[in-house]
Amino acid sequence: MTASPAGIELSAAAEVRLAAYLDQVRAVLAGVPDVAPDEIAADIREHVEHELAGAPRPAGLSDLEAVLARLGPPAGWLPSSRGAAPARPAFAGVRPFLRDRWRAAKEALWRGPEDWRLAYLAFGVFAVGVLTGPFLGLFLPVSYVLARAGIAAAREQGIELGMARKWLLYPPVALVSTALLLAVVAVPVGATAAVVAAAQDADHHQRWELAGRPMSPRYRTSYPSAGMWGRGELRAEHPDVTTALDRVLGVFPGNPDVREVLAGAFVGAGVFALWGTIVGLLGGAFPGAVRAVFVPYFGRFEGAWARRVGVACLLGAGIWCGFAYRILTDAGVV
Amino acid sequence: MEEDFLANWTTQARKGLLELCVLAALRGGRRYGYDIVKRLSGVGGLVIGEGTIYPILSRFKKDGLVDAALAESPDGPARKYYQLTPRGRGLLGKMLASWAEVRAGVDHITATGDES
Repeated sequence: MTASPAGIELSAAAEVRLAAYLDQVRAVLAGVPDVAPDEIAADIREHVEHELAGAPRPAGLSDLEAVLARLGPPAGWLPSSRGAAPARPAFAGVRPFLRDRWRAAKEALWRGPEDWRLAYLAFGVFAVGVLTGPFLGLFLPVSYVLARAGIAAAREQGIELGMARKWLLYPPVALVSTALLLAVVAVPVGATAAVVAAAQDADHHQRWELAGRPMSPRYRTSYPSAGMWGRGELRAEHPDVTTALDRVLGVFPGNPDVREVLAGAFVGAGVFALWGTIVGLLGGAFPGAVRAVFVPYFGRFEGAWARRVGVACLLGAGIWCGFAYRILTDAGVV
Repeated sequence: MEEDFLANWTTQARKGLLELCVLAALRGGRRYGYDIVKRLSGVGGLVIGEGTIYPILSRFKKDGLVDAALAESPDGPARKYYQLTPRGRGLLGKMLASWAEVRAGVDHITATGDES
């Protein structure tokens, strides 16, 4: 069961059938110069929504087929005295094709509806950024804003974006959204690495203090510091010294190397649980912001999903805290 | 053969009239697309496929004969309303006058036959 953007609740099979029918509408009308296929597809979707308003939810394939039968085959809708452009044989000519596309782009850019103009502008600015390499950082934000405006304009007009307009609008938006998505995933990874590095640094310093602040034999200076020693080097030189981290790692099974990996994974689990709680609860509270920031990936994102993830992670973080307390207690650190 | 001719003739006759009727349906004020379709579908023999109306509306919009705007609906999602522009209203008047003239002529011919 799916809910379309226009609000029609259809079964999966009906949704697929409607999407195919709307694709057929766009394909049939694509060659007609004086109609807007995307707008007509949006009108058809609205029509179907009205027709199925009284049907049981989700509306099934048979209900939809009856509506589509009344609408008729799109091939029969061509306006009088104006047919679709005649089909060209494959590879008949690249120049006429490019010339037609160029004219269409110029027309849309200067005289076309706002949503198409924004689509061409967004893609043009993005393309210039890609072609100029280092200047992508300059052009990308501009094309991103233009593309978002184009998407918003189409939405305001009730237009469901067709494939052609998606190709124009989505590249800058998808690039920025992908970067933001990777950043969201990278935060706990980076935080885990930072926590592990800080713990190792503190352990190294404590080991050096407990060993009596020895001077490394490699350096001839009157100012000893922990930085003069490599971590493994100090440990090998003073195997009798036991730090708090040594006691904590002693709780984990395996040899010292395995213990460090397990401890790092344990820290990572805690950081991910905490981050998942924050992201989940924020996403649950502001689902509209998630849909807006990560266009076009989470168009059907719902706050309830994020809340479930947030609560599950909160539960996981609570369990993690329990284990962490027990480990620290067993190690005699707490 | 005869059936094919009749079907073709009916289609040709209907196409021009359908455009007139779409504009005429908007004469009383703004209507949303579905409403126009249902209104015209009620006219026997005029609309074969209900979807036919939407490309006509799209073309009229592009030609500046109608305007379209989304408006909130008390029954659900926003609806797209169409209304005549002054240019569309003017053209409709001319089309109706032309149609009346043609219809009167056709009625006369078909009623009296070739008596002259």
